[in-house]
Amino acid sequence: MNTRAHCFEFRIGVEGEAAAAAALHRTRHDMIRLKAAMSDLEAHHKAGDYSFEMDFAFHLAVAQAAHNPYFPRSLETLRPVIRQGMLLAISPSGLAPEQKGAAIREQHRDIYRGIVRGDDTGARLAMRRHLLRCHQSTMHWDGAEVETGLEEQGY
Amino acid sequence: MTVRDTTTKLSDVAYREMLDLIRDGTWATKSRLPSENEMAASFGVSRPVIRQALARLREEGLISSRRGSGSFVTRTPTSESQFPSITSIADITSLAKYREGIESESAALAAERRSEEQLERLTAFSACPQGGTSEEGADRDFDFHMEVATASGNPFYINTLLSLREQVRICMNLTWNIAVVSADFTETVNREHRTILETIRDGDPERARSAMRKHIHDSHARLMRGRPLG
Repeated sequence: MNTRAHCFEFRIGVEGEAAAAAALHRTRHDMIRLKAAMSDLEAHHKAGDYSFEMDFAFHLAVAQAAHNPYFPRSLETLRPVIRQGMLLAISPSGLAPEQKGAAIREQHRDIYRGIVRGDDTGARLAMRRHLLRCHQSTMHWDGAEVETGLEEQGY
Repeated sequence: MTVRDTTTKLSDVAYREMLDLIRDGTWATKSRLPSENEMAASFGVSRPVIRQALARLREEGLISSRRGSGSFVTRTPTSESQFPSITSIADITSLAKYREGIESESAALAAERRSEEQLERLTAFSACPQGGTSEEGADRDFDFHMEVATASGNPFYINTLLSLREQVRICMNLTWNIAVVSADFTETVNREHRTILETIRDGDPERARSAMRKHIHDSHARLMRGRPLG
């Protein structure tokens, strides 16, 4: 396994837990911030800008909504490694960036819905699934034999 | 705000100022710290506040104190920890929740990946000795958790727990100090560690995940009750 794969594996643990905690502790202010992060990402994608910062901002907003300083600190520390993974997840291969961007935004909405419902298990699962899919969509960069059928890949 | 809250806040400030003095070498390694009276005068706070700040430096292994001869700097802090220090009960709860997430996940990975050699080390570290000091108990406790993280084979989980060493040790020291009179406490921890060990040995990630989560959750609950058991 390489650093990027390990990092995704770590994020699945940390961010899954952060999303669950966010579902239990989010305030009205957190929900406004999450919603803003989602519409910012959409605006940038629509303008053809698949920048890392907007995607990261959503993940950081989830960690902040957990109201536990250990979660956002983990993400900030990992920012450079996360950036590398996110860039590869959106980079052209197989599907067009528009399709990948749409899939990422749909997965973010799933996470958001879990948090808004106060459903910790659902939010954790949605975050884990999102990161697993992003991880899978970068595996071919390592030359791994990954079946990238539309349905399995989910993008 | 109660008197106790105010003292805690002041001692946090004093602690940070002292940390800076050690870090920038004003208080060099092996040098003797000023007396409590001198520090109280120069920081403009009371002696109980100074003592509380010193206790924290001592807990983090930065100073050692000898009766009658004062306190000495034992080491300079390593690079700023990536994580916040423990300064309140709320921090202890936050840390426990965070650990529930990351350590349960690394236990699940350990169940999938552990080598035979790692399993041997886990077995060796799983039991805290009966009748030891609270320090020995807490040492062994942390070692076991570190071995589980190591067996995950993922450097992010390993480094994260390493970076949290000071914070986790503060919590474990508290727990073991409360519990040192109780043989049942050591047995409870050992039983929980043994369950985690068995699930990892059996290669059962789901059970390893829930066993670790439950162990950290229950340990935190015991600490919050201020009683080792029951």
